[in-house]
Amino acid sequence: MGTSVGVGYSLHKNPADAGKEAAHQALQQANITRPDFVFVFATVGYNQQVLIQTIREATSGAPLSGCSGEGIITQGMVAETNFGVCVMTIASDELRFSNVSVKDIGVDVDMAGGRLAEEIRPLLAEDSIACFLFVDGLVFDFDPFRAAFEKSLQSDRHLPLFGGLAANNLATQKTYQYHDDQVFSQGISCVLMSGKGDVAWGVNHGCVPVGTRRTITRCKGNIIFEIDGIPALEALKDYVEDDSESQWNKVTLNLCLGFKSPEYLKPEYGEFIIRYMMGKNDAEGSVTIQSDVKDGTELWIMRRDKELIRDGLQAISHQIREKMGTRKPKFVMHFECMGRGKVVYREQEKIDLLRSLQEDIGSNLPWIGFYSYGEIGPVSRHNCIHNFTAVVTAVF
Amino acid sequence: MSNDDSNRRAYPAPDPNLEILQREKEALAQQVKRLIRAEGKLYEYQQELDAQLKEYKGLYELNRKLNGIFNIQKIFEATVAYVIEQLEFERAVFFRKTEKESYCVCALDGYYDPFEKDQVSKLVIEQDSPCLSPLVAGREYLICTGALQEPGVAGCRIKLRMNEFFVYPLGFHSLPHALLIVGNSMENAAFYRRVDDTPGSLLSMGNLVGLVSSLIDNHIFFERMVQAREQEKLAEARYRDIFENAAEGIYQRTPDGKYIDANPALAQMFGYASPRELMTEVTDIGRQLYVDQRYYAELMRSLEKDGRVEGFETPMYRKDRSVIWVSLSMRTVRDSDGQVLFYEGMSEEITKRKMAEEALRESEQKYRQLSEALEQRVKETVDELRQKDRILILQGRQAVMGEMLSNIAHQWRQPLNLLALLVQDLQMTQKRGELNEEFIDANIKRTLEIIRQMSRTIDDFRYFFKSDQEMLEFRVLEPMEKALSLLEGSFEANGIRIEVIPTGDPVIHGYLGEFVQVLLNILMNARDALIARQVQDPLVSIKLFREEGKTVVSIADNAGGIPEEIKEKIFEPYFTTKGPEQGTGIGLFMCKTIIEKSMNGVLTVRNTEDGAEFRIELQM
Repeated sequence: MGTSVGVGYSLHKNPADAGKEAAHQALQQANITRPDFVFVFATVGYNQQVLIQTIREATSGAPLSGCSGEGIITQGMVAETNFGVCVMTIASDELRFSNVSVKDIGVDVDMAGGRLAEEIRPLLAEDSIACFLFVDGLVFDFDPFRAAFEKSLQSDRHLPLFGGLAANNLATQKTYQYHDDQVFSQGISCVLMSGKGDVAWGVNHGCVPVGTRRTITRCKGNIIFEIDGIPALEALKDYVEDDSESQWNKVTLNLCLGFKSPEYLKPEYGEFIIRYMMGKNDAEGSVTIQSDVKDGTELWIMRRDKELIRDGLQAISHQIREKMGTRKPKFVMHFECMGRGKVVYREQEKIDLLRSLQEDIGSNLPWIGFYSYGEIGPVSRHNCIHNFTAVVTAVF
Repeated sequence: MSNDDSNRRAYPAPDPNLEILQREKEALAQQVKRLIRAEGKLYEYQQELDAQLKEYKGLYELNRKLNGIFNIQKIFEATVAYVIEQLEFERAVFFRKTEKESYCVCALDGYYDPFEKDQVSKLVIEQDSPCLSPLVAGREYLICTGALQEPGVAGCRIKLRMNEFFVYPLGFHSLPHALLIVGNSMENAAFYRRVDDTPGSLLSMGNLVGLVSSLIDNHIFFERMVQAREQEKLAEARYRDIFENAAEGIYQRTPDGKYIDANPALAQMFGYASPRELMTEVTDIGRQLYVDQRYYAELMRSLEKDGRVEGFETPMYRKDRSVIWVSLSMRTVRDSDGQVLFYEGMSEEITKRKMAEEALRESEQKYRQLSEALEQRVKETVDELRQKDRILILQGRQAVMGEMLSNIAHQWRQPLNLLALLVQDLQMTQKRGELNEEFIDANIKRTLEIIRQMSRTIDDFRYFFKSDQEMLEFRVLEPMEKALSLLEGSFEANGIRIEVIPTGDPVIHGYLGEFVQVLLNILMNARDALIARQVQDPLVSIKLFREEGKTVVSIADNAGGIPEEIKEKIFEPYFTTKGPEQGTGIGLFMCKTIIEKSMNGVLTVRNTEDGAEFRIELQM
């Protein structure tokens, strides 16, 4: 039999109609009636419980994982709205998908990493290929999570982590993670993929520094209080239009922070690791990012560069093709930073870019993804979190 | 101390090129910052532009879609779908005006709970609803948000299940054809386009409403056109049906006397096989069809003068030259210049009616004659009956007179005997030689007294039987006393007691003689009944009084009353219970005739506890 994969999507506003339509399309494309596993990415306008329930019913209660995103991505289609859902259905006798979840990760991220590893460890097998993580993007700090996870996993083998941080479109106070019938927030939905197969992926950001080097002069964990001895927010002020200061979300989409990549990442990832400022504190003048930093860390103010992004996508497809050789992907998972979507590109540009990437990797592939608040993908055998980045994973 | 200060101390004479480079670097840094800011702005505008383009593209596609729709309901449905899918409001409801001028939901979208959808689909906005009046007064739209609330509109939130919404009228008439309400519920508003009065929102809604409003107007106009055309077709079909199947002849004809169109009934009326044959063969209506050209001339004069004629009756020829009568109703059809285009009208054959009318006229004549003869006969019969009545009354009177004469004879027997004795006494006294002047005087005195008494009896008799020439006003008691005086002998002889109870002294206006005849008859009947029934202590009780403006005479006996089975018959002529020797059967009929016909009174009889009571009521 091999692996049959189908993808469907819907932009209906009615969650029941949307879920049903997307699931039916996916089943039809895969030419199956009863999938072994279901991935779902949706935006936050829907009644999430109704949506997931409908998809579960349409897919015969197959195991399901996924999360909410800022938008959805499928073959030749992107939709950054509050009402979009895409479904991938997989039936395979080559690949196995085991899903687990942990909740309340906001309380202690270290513990969350450990708890997730505890759930995954019994499922790990010789032929385990990768883990897909869909995490609440509003409460996540990746570095302590990864440390605890990898430590608790007690595995000599490198288990690549792919995924994205769930988004809320700034329309609600929470993001959603899906695990079978459950819809929850402040959690991780995780899928361990094992079996006869492999993954090829690419990671690229497309940001360039503007201005000279800066230095963090006071910080704690993932909170940066001062840059070059002045409050972090003050240091960013010159790059922001006066009337935009109150609109933090716009500011953080136009500006990001770049840190020198560790030496082991540079060959694959380039000079800088990009960080999105996920929060700020006006009283303290601080900003919060999604990984930890230390005093004295050098940083650069970064901006997105459309040409670099375009070139970066080509680099991704090149990396994937190089690894796959002549083999064809069974399906592709695509985690794209929301900062690289409609806030940068015109609608048609965005679709053209996507199609170009999809054509490069292989035409008419089952392709699913979402616009995220952070992207997870390994670089040089190190699991990393990224911002303003595209992580494209082809399973072949 | 900064690096710049230490540099100045280390290098007191700074390199001018380095300073230039430093300034250029600073300038460049500022330019980069400006570029970054500009880039941010550019991306913002780019998003807005994309959103606008998407909206205009959606509107263009909606326009194309709506232009291909010929069902107005589909327009409503496509519009609410556009509001949800393209404008990204949560909910949209279309209300359409009904024949009763209220507004009912005709399309809605965005209600995904079946109960909510059902409730909203039943909503009705009445014509006097507060939310309508501002729109009727010319407002372009109404808005309801947390900050903006139109009076009377906010109350609709619960019913519409919307916390913020627009109300737009559609259709450019005093009362809009439809109302479009779009908005969001409180719990989901954050995921949808917000309702506000910013230029962008109003432009989006205005573009949609402008487009749909025109289309709805056009469709309603089109619907009415279609309806009118259907009605026209229906009317045409009905007209054609009537034209083809009417019993009357229907036609159009030219001023010069040719038929333009004719129905089968007209052809049949004139004896032609088909309308075509009629129209082909008749080329000069006046000459070929009209029996009398004067009728035709008069018809054309009336048409010329009045433009129409109604029920013009004329004899006309059929194809076989037989004559029929026809009733014509016609009108003149003229063009805008007043020139006669043609005449059109209806013809009805009235030959049978004409014949019937003639027969009726003859029948009426005969009836009139018969009626007159009958009247004469009735008059004669009435006169005859009256004559009979008079004869009967006369017979009655004669019967009473006979009775009276019998009474007089009875009353005269004693005085006549006395007179005979007086005469014999005179003779015997003379024979005895005792006759003297004193005796003679006494004898004469006694004789004259008796004769006066007898004369009074005669006078009383004459009183009763003098003929009535005219109606008089008289006291009732007077004839009653006279009657009783005449009858007292026979009453006394049979031991019958009489009591007269007058109340006041009532009078009547009538014929005295006839009235006495009535009294005598009733009294004699009472007497005869008392004698026949052999009543113990027989009594006749007479009461005279006034009642409700009338004079009433009640004569009651205690003879046991009249049997019920004959009570209704006693006033009929020739009805008697006395047998042929004693009764004529005329008495009470005569009494009824006198009281009711001659004196306009009422005579009735009823049975009392122990006898019969006759009651006479007369005008005073």
